[in-house]
Amino acid sequence: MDNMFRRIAVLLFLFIVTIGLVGCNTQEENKEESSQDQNSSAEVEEQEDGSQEESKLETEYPLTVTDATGTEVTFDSEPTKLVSLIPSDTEILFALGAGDEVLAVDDNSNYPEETADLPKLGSTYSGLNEEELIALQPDVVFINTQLQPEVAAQLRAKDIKVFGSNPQSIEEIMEAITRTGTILNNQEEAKAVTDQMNEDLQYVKDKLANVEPKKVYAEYSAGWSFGSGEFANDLINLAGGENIFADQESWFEVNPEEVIKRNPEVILYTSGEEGAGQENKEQILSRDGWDVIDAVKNERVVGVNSTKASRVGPRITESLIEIFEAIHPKLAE
Amino acid sequence: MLLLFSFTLSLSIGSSMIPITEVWSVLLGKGDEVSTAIVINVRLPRIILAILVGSALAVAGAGFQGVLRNPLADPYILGVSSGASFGAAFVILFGLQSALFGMYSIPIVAFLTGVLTLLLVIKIAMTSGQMKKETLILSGVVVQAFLGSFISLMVSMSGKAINEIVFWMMGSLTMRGWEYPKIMAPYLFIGIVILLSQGRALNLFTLGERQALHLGVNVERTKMVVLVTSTLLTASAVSVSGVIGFVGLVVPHLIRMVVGPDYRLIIPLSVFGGSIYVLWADTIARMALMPKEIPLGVVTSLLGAPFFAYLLKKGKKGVKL
Repeated sequence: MDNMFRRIAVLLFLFIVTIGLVGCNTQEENKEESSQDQNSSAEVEEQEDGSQEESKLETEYPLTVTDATGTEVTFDSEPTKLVSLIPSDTEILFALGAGDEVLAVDDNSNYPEETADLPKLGSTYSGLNEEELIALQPDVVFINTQLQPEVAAQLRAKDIKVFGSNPQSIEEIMEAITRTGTILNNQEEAKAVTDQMNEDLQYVKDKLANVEPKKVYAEYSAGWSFGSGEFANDLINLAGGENIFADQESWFEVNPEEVIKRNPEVILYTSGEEGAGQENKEQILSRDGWDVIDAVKNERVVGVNSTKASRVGPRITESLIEIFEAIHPKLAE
Repeated sequence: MLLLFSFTLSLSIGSSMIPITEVWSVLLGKGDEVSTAIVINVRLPRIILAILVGSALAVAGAGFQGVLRNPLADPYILGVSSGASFGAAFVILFGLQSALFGMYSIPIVAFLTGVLTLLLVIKIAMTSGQMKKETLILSGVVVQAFLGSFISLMVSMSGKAINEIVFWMMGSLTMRGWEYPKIMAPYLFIGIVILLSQGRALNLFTLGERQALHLGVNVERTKMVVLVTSTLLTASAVSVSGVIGFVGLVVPHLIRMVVGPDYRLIIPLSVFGGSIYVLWADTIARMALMPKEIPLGVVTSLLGAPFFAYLLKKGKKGVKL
């Protein structure tokens, strides 16, 4: 019996050790693979550096740029301690490859995933944590002057360098990305981002050549829509749609009678990531009296990712394509 | 009569310019598809809901004023609206609008929290089996303030440019469809019948609770019945429409100025007064800035306050509140 027990123990021990070794092995393999990846990508970069030696865009400091508040902001050297207090600028910083220089962001910055690990400094609506912001001693703080009209003055009064932007169109978003790239000495990356955005824009423009716009009703939340003068309205126009409430301005609660009367061909509603917000669609489809609307009859009620559409950042052209596909599904095929 | 007139007129006018003749042909079953959808499925349920909400609030207001013998009493005085708003704000803040009870999540939660609030208020006010009306009002104020601070907190946490919580609290009857009036109608009917049966007792209340007791009224029981019924009516109205101010305060007073302090008349007439008041206010809410909507609670207060002030000034000599 004793012998038997010992054998089983030895077998178990061997078994565990084997598993452990296999486990270690795979981990090491993974490590090697990832380090190889890094090596190869580094090499690629070096090669690029080599081949573009003459044309490589370098920012010369000191650099003075006028921001959206009309203030001349001077950078004596390349800023490396960055803070963004607005999700769109956070996305820009990460898209420019400056993510590891970002010290902290606001509460609403949730893209890309890396932002989850960063310290959060509150939000404009619930109040910013100025003390923590000052303690970080950032080289520059990025804000949006439309959504945060008072923040620039507030922070400048405390000797914090603020750079405000306020892009109102896709072109201005690209300009803002280029400008941020210049400030950070990441001009190459900025060019790559804006090139992709231009490509997206051109794709939609080509598809929509000689196409009649479709009548669109866009619902921000149940019963709420917007008129012209809003960025979202411009997006719909660019995507080959015509907002049925373009004769109105700003955001407002609609009279449902009017939606029926204006008979949209497509209804857009806001959805989250991965098809969340499905219940909004069912709610729209089941509203009393809405069954006579063309969009409801033909089930052309489509969700649009509201985060992408509302942030004036690098993903705006992705949003444009999404809205274009929602309005003109046949053209998109 | 006046209600019937208001009803047909309100049905005929709307943000979509449908001529009155077209409205009538729709009602006779001969309208085109779009007009029929608008009149029958959007406008009609909304008008009926306005009537139901208005009568519920006005009757509840009359009930509260009768029991508490306080001219400032309105359906919200015991914190029902704060309770309902708290529930609605909670649902909106955590995005549970369709997670709990389908599309009725907000109404159901708001109704429950509204009723729970009253229970809490009564519990606080109850001392050795008795409720003094002063204690009741004060405990209502306390609970209201407490819940109000939570609501403000939730509003500040929601961090959206268009704050759904704020707009819900301003009241609206848009996008409700047929289901809401269908659900609300039976509650309203039962509630009104119960309050009507208490009209005589409420008349005796005006003499004072002790006198009422001597005249054979079961004071504590009447108080409880009227308070609970009025609260249920208020909670049902608030849960479907949000907080619509001034109706429950002004309408019973108006009726009292006209017919005198007889609750056997005030209660049934408040039903009609409240209906007409909210019906017109909602017609203005959907018409004034078309195709935009104005929050209904804004309209009722905007119209109600100056009108009430005028009546107060004019009626000062003859009528006592």
